[in-house]
Amino acid sequence: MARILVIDDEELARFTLREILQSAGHDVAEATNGNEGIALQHSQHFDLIITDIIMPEKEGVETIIELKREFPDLNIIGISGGGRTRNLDFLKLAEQYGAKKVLTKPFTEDELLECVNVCLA
Amino acid sequence: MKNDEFIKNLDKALTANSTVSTGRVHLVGLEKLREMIGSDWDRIKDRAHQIVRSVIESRLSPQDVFTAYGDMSYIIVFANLGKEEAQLKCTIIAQEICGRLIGNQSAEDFTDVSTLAAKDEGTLYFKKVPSIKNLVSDLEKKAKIDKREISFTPVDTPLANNIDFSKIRFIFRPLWYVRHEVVTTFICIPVRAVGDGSYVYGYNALPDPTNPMAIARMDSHILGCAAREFDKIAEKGKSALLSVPVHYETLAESSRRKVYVDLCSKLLSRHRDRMVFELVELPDGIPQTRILDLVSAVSFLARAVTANFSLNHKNFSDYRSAGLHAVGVDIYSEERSEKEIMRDMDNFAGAASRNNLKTYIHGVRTTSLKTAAIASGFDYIDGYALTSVIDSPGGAYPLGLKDSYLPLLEWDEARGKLAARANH
Repeated sequence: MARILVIDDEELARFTLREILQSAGHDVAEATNGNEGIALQHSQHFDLIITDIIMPEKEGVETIIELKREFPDLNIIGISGGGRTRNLDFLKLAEQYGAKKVLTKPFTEDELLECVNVCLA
Repeated sequence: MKNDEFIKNLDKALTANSTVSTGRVHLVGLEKLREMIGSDWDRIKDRAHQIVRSVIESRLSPQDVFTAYGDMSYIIVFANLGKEEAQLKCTIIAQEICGRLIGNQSAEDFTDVSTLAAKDEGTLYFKKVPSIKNLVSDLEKKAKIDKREISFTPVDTPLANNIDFSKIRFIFRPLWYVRHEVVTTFICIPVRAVGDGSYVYGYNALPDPTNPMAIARMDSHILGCAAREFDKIAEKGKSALLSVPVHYETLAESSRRKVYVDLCSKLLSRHRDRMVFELVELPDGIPQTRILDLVSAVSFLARAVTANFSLNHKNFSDYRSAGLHAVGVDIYSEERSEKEIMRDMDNFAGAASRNNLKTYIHGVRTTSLKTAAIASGFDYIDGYALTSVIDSPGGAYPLGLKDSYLPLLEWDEARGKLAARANH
């Protein structure tokens, strides 16, 4: 079992991720944007962070850059797909700046859990 | 003006002048205007009432008074005008309101002007004012008319003539073309220092930013600046597009439009394929025919004509066929939460794209808003999240999506160096 933080401004997306991850036995916390997520990581030190890219206040790539600066060994998964265009570019950048894996929405439960397992291995 | 203050002033106006009568109390109604604007009214009503109050205030003498009457009317009391002159002034006010709100000065179709009258038994009621043509004709017959009052061209006031352009300088904001990850266009912005180290931008750099003559002079001044910058860019052997704002007031009135277009032809015709006009301060309810008229006034002088709207504008049907290349918004002064702004950005870009229009967004100040703008599908983006303003454009240059994160990384590197120095 791992302690995982999900950062996403969409309530439904957070709920869905939480359900999948909890059913796989993980302990899950939530944040609605990068600022909240970084603050939680400082206080709770998660094993893995899953972050959306398009978010208010602090978006995903910015969040990954800041998290990797403070926690170089932290495992991060970047997810995106909600926008109208160009999300793949952001996911490429997320990988370049330190996300261990990226997932394009929509993804299946198996794809998510496989990514999580790779990151935690 | 509050109601009790209005009553006090009304009493003063009626008692100070023995000739004041019911014929000087008028009602300007906006009901038909609301019907014309339709479902957009709720969105623009606050701004509309602000414009109505501003128009009335600008046309009244210090002795005259006015107040809102219900949600859709304004009562105006003239202290020193005769009935017909007061009616004419109200009609002019109504026309100006229509011009500012929907770009159409056919006030009779969109507003009601009524005069307070008394029935034989003494009951008061509001009687609809006859058409403006009949009014003018009546007044001409009486030979009492002050022809200046009929003109819709504002008098060239001292404030319009008294602009110290030596205190207004220009800066340029690079506009990023998202699809090709390149800066090709520079937006010309007038700025004036205000003494405490801060600056005022755009038409706020004018002593009176609402004076149409001053606005037109500023627009002409911007053309001069653009011509000089094109020469400088050419001297450097580079190429770039320049986008200049042109205010609705400058193109809406025929004499001001002619001065502007003539000057543009003279100064910038050889740069036509690198000029972009951005129509700004368009009335919220402007009909498509009026947009067509404004676009055609300048399109032959430019590579593209764009238009700036409020972020909650959603109805773009027929704007493409009116000749607009792109529609855009400025979010620099938005004070709402980023989540709300992002939702409206998505709606705006979606509505424009469904009407085959390109989109641009000014004033993107955070990385999260920049990312949201890209994801929403905006074609052109500018703001501090991407680039800083510059004094003079040096030509087009590439700017990758990755580059927009460099300041974060540079900060990281700088902090790393500081830490390393501290450890030694």
